[in-house]
Amino acid sequence: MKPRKHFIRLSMLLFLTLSLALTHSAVAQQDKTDKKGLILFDFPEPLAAKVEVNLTAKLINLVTKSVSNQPEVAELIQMLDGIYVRTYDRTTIDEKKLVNYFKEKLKKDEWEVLVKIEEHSETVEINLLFDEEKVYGIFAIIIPKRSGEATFVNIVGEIAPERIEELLGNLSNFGAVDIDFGDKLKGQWNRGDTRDKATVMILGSDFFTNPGINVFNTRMDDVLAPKRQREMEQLVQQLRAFSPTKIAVYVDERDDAEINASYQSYLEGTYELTRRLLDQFGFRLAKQMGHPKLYCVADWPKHRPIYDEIDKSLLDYATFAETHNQEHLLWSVSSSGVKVRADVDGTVWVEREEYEPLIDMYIRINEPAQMYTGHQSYLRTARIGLKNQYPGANWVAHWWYAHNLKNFVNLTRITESTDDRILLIIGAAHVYLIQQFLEESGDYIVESPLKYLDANKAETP
Amino acid sequence: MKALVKYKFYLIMLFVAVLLAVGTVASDDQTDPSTEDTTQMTKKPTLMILGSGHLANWGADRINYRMDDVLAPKRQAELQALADQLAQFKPTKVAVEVDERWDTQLQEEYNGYRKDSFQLEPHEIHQIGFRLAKQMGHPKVYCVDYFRDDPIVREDREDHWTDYGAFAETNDQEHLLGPPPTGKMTQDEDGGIWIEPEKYEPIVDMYIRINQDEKIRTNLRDYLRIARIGLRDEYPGANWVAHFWYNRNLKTFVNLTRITESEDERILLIIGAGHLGFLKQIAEDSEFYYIESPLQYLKADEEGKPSTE
Repeated sequence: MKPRKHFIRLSMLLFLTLSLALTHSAVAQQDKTDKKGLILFDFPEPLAAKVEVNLTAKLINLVTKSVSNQPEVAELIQMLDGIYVRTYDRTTIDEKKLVNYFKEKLKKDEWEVLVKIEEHSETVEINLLFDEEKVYGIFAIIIPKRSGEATFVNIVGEIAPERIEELLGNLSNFGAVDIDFGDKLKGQWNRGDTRDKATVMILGSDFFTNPGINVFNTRMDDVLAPKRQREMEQLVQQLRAFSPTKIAVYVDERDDAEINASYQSYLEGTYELTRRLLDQFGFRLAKQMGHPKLYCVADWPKHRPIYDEIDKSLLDYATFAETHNQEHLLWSVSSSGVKVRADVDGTVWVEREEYEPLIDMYIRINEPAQMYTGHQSYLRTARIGLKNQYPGANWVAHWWYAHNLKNFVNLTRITESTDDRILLIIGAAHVYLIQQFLEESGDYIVESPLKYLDANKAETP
Repeated sequence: MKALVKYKFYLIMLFVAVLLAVGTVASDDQTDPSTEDTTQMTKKPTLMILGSGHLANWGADRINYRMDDVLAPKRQAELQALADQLAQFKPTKVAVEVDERWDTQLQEEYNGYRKDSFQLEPHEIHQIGFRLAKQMGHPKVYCVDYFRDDPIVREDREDHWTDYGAFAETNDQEHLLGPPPTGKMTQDEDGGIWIEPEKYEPIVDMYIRINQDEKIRTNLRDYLRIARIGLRDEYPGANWVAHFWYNRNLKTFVNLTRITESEDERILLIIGAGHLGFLKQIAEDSEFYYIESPLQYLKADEEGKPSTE
């Protein structure tokens, strides 16, 4: 993309339309409320939109004049009777309620869902109102998780299908199609091919056993306490709706026999669940689903032929950062709502200030924006080093990336058919990469656990 | 039914275009100094990655695409046209696929070329990198590849652990190596496969073809498929992808960040097209740069017109 150039060109054009739109905004969309393809932004509660665009047919004509030196653009927009956009700050709205409100409307008017993308980086749903001859409207809900915004777009206009190709051939002149986001969306559409694919859902988690083996460790209270046990039952209950055919856990294959022996005893009623997540969540859900076994997919072999021969001082990014003034590239932990303290041996513990129910915790941990920020920290760590020294990149490539790539490979090895629905339980930090491998491989559909988790439903004891 | 699907696709394109226009307003709206700094408006350096074929027929890859002599006058004119188009990106630095240890030699060649005392060799580093850098008046060309014997990717390492090709062949996993190449093929004495061109393709057309998004996505997908080669406790595919290929690309990215001196920097990297998948993903995920696609600067010649005047 040529951001600067486009900003200037488009912003001039849109400044004009916006300034015009503002004077009309209160009434603009209500010119013809019964217009086919129009979905009114009439959510009954007051909302503060960050961006509000109302381009009616009249305004569209005006806009067209302003770009008369670009006939292709003019032609494209002239086909439309209206473009309406609302962008909200996600923190200021009840997203679910708002989305459902529009979905109800669309359903009532018999719109069809054309594309639905639910991914770690964004949720996109495109709806279409059409018959054999024409398209009457497009309604899209776009929630790119990274930006913290939710955007709703309604495009109204009678668009003849055969004109579309001709018009779209000129779209590159519109100056917008080659912007990154467009490529992504395009890619996702292509990726949403119709082949049958196996489905994976990854539940990012924390340890319940406080092993203190990570850079930052979350201090967890006793998961065996009655209240936590009730919450765990609810968690299992909600995620059951995913209907997993296999449950995969972050345990090395070598321990498969031992784990499954415990699981067998649990099925027979002779095994007491320990605090491990594997037991608490994995065994419980596997039993409820009637699974004969659990699958161990972690890459924790005794022997790593390449990693083992690496001089570990070449991976010591932390010491390097501290001795070379690169601490800013190290991990940091957000301090809102948590207490951070270090043990005598230097292990850092993060404790939440307030009691957090398990479902709330899992919703927080599995928030895509959170995962993405985590992944970016690894790419920042990779930059630690100078000249011919790459301790950060060495650690990220030879340890972190290799490890997660093999976790992914192990998942592919337990996939037996496209009917498989695998639920992987793993530390939250691993989720981003494994999900990226699954998605980019083109062979999997990835579902988010957030689709199944509902904190409100869990509150009733 | 099929027509409907197609028409749905175009609708999405239309939608994307409108959406993007709107998205631009949204970000533009935030230039208001009173609003909080947002990620969209953060000042960041810009990176453009030009995926390339190896113009000099090095034959270094498993599958190589044969190129005719790029020193021929017609090719030279096409390369000049390519450089002219890329110059519109206004790069502040040109980075090439050369390891840093060759830096001194590369700079000597570049200096010689600037003083007209050095003849460009027929590979993309010289033909595109040097040409463009000189045109932009750059004092040097930057080496950002990571390709060396280092304490980790050692030459004496047992190949067995990363030899995914041999493993695939002996374990009936050839399908994970990807579809076999098509077209007219020859094999050289070292076993390298050469794909012979079917017809004459102008240079700019070739670069447009190589840098398509769908190509880049396929490239990434190919490596993720290779990663799956292996059985039980053997992971030759994943070992090669992680310890060799990803490692090299991650360090190339790190090297790019090290030559990035300010947010006004506009770096053009010229690199083998096989690197595009990982490099673009790493660069995008890091959000260290604005990424521009070379496609918006490349314009194919009109049909039938020779590229030479």
